Amino acid sequence: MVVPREASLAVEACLALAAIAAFSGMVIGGPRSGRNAHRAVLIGGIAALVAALLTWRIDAIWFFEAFRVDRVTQSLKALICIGLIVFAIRPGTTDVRGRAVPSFFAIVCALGLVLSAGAGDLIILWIVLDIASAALVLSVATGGSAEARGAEVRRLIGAWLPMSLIMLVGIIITAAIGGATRLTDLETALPGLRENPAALTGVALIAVSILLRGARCVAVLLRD
Amino acid sequence: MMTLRIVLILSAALIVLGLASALRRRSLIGYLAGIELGIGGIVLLASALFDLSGFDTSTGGVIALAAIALGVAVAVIGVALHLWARRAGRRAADLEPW
Repeated sequence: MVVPREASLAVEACLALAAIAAFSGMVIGGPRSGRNAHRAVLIGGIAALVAALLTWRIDAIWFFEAFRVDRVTQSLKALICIGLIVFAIRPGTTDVRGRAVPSFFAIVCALGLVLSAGAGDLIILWIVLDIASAALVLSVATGGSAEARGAEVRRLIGAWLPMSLIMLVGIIITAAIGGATRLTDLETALPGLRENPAALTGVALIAVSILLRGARCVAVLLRD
Repeated sequence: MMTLRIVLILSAALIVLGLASALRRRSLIGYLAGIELGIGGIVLLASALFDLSGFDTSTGGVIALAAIALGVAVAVIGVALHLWARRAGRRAADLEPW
């Protein structure tokens, strides 16, 4: 089966369409808006998972190397889509199905994570990770009462903002020493800078901030 | 070179102060003020490192703009969460949300 190159963006397109559908439900309102937004999350997640599996063999570069598609990125996207589907079908969501806002922010979070999986530039990676983190905070905050969600929101904000600042410091140091923010340029520049402590510090700050942010967010979501 | 060193020390001090006050987390306002202080330090660091050291200046500008956008987003989300908690409190006390 020949899959066109444009199909490599099918995962992002599915999630973006689902986000638009959930946003429409949120803006229009009405008694069924929450249920429709929840359906949009579920259908969008399943469609994006199928798209990730169908486009698994495609290699493509988009937007002047700012976005890459290959087997690794499509595998990561499939994992993110599975997480979104689990979020949509887990028993705890039945009480918030009447509200469209948490569903909309959940799908925006998934879209941000999918974009971060394919990011080919450090600045793009930082921006989409921040969008995903902000959407996750808002999805958790609007998914229940202020008393019940206050502690989780505080923990998520604590995981998001300090790690974002640390990651940005790492990006600035790496870009200033490596001379570029594109990952393809850094792949050629950084091996020659193995002895440079500043370059190592920059890369370590980026890696640690991503790992700590991810670990803390997963810990909060699993405890939920 | 001297100017670059002074600006780098100043930006590092701002980032450390901001992160330290954010990690103490005594109140939402103090937390957000710390984060904004850290973002200010990062804007200074990006501008200084790319402009004064002779690297590609546009990259520093882009990073500074992105950091400023993060600062605005953080302030908006902070206000939204504060209003959300306040409305929930008023609802719990059987008062009008506004």
